[in-house]
Amino acid sequence: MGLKGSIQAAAKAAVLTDAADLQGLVNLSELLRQLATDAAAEGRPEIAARSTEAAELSDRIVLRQVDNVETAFLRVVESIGACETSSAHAESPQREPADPELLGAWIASCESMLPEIEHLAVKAESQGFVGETAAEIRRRIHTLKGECGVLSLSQAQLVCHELESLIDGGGTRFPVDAVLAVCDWMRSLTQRLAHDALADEPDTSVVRSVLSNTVLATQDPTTSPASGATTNAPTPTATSTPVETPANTSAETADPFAGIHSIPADQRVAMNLEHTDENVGDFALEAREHLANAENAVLSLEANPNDDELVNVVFRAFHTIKGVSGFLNLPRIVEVAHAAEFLLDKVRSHKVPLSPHVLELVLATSDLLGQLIGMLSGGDAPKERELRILVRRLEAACEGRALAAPGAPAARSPVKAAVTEQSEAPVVETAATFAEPKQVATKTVVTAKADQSVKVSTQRMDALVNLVGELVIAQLMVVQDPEVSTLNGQRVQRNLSHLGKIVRDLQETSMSLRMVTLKSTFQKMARLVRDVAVKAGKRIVLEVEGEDVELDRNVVEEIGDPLVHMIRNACDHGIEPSDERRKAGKSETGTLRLRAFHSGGSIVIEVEDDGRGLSRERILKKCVEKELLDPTRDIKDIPDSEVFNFVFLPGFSTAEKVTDISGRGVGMDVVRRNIEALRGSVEIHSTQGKGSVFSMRLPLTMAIIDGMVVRVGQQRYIVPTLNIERSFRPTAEQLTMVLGKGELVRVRSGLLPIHRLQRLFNLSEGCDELADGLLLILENGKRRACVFVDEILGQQQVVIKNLGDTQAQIRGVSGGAILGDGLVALIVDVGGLLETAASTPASTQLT
Amino acid sequence: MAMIDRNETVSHESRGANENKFLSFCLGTEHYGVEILRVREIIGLLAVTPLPQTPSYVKGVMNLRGRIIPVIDLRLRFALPAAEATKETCIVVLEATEQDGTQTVMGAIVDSVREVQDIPKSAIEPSPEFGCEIPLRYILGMGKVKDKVIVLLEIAEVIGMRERAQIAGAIKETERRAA
Repeated sequence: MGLKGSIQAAAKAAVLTDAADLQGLVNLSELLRQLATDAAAEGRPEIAARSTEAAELSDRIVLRQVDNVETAFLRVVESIGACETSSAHAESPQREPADPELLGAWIASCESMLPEIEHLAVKAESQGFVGETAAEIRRRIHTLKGECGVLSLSQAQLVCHELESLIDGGGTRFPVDAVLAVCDWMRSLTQRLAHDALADEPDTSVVRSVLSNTVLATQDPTTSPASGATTNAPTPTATSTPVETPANTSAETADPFAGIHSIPADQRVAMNLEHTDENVGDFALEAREHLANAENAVLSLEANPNDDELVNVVFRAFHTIKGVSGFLNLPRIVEVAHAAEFLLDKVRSHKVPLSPHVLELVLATSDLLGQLIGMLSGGDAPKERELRILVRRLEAACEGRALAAPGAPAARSPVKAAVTEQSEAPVVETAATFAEPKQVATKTVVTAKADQSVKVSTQRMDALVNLVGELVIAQLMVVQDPEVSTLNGQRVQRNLSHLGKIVRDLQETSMSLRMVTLKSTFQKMARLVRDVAVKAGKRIVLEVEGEDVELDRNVVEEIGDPLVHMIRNACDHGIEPSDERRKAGKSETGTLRLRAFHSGGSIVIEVEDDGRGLSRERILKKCVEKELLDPTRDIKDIPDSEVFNFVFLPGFSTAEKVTDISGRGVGMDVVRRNIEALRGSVEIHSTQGKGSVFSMRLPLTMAIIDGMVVRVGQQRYIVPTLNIERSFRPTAEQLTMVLGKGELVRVRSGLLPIHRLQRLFNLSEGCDELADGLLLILENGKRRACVFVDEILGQQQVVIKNLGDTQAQIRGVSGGAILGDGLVALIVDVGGLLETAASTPASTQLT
Repeated sequence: MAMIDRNETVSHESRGANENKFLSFCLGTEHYGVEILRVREIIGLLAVTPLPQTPSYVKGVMNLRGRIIPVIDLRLRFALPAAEATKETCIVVLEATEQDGTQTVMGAIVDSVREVQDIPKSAIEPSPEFGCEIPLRYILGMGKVKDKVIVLLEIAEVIGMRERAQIAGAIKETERRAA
């Protein structure tokens, strides 16, 4: 790894140094000279030349012999980047099958071109560099190089390129040996290709050594070759400059000069997706799963850093991603995954200690890979610069060094805070800085193994669910058929009941298909809390509850965004920094609770923090500033709920300063819009100084609920079991009539109003006598009342369906469900029903 | 390639052939027709679950193979007198595609289904300004078959967005009155 190692060493040194750091520059210059020696030894004259030049330049910076130290330093960095690029090319050649016709034509032309070049070379030997012959050879070689590039023959391209540089470099004697060696090599290449278009290119070591020996022989080491003059300012007039790297075989070479610092800040990673096949979709899905597993394992590792198995889980995830993406020809993913895998391998073999820095890097890698994988399905590309920085940081970590990410985020991170005394050099020794582990923990129980899953189109799944529904009905029709029921054969009856059991099982399974738990969403939030806490330098514990609550897949996907905003807000604005908490007499560690539960036929997801709470005064002040309030109203009269609702307005932020986490006033607007799109609602409860609760109430559109099937007259209704406190048959003594209030029933907790479902739903039939039917005590939030029905038929899990395309929201009905006999039963929306009932004058109920 | 092309032509032709076909049915003594392309299926009268607070012509909802669809009584919709269900009473499942691409499926209860008839464009006359029992916006035209006149319905109007908005409005009205 001589050459590669020294390039990396130089690159790292360059990242860590700046133009003002003299010691760093001296180091850098030494490393560059080492690199030049290594490059020359490995037959890479262009790298050797460039690094020698860069070394000289950095010496000049130290001696202040340059006009502008900053630009000069930048040029050094660029040179290193270019060395890195060209070395990467030699080491990871990319072969893509070339067009066979094109290849055939090329092989044929080579057969005539190579003897010509040889002939010219021999001629040139006697003439020296002067004269037309050398120029003619150079032109031919240049053409050859271009053709190799088109055919993705990267090795051949490189060899031609080197020969070209050699001829350009000039010297006392024309390098005829080198030209002949290259011609021989090219001939062996064309022979191989003639047999097999995909054959590997022949070994270049011999031809390379000839080339490099020639370089050493022909070049005066004290004068930079031609490349020196053109390194930093390639002139367009030069037909071929040595920096013209064998480009385009990899997307990375969009800018051959690019060192990390010279990559434009907004340049995105380019990935060639043309040659991908249908496996890519599956890969993306699997890779995401692997990443999720890895993240979970990392989060657990924070708590138990000594668990080797968890390290293995993470290692395996990256290893698999690397392997598959290599197979699918996705070099950029391989690059990142490889760097992470390499680091984890060292951690696994205890060569590198498992520090918080390593974990952070692994998480960052996972994020970046997530983005790269997202590109496969049309997502935005991550920034090239980020990728390169990350890979470097991973490599540095392999050597046990913690390399802080350059740029703004580092300034905020605790890494920086811990090393303020050496703030100019963001390199810190891992062990020293991270002696005290960070106080970020998540209490979620993380399982390393996720459920295995198959990707199925939702359409097919819906079709299956519907078909099963039909099957149930058909089965019931057979069983209840009068002719069948007269059959007395034991066997028939036994088989029918067996069939019935299977059908029921099938129905239950199919119903659960669309439902997914909130587990994966909540696990992502655990990660988010950790990241935000680290960024904001706070200590936050996340407590998760109800991650097994099942929701329709679509809903789960949609609530991700709002949750992210709510949690960011809570971490950044809600929970105070430790010292402030201490002053307020609270525990230094903030607690964030994420809860999901069923309530009143909806699913409620709550984000609760024990932070400072919303400030009523500040919101009101802002409202006055923005003239959002009706000036005639007394501010004191505005209820809290209304005040808090203002934070959902777009652009409304009470944050005194905008951080890069939140504070721009966009987040809560997004929360509300997303939730409303799901036909849900969001509420805020907050006590200043104590904390706040954001609760999202989501309708259960497709969700399965446990319901009690009740009958009124001929009709059946489903009442969500969660809303039923209990049911009982009233006795005459319990019942009372109060004028203007309607019927009341006395229960242990006092008097409750009675509403007759028959009247609420305007049904013509139904039980009149209260003593003949049943009373259900229903509750929804704070409302509690009795509803009178004829009888309870049973309890059942049902799939909630919307009521067709009426687009009409009927108060008291949240949807419909298809019962076992194929008929539709309406699902009672207890909240709406009790509200309607309460607002209906008692007189109409008494009629 | 050639095969695909041929298939496309076939489907075009079949669509073209079906374009002039109408399903005719009876409401009372009157004959009505709907484009056959708008008819999804015809099913016998099933038990329909009534919806509270809806106008009387909304009979309720039914299960169409796992999907819940609303059912309206066309007689009541067109303000004809209600009638007892007979053996011939059935539900015609109609579908309409809105301009925004959403599909509406709705069942319509009719007295009886007659037949599928070819009514060429030339035999369709614009609806008369008056003398018709049902609102004009529901009518596509008057089709003449042999010596009979069939009222051809504009399905997009009968079950489409405007209709649904009207039902929603009616529900709100009921609620308001109840409160």
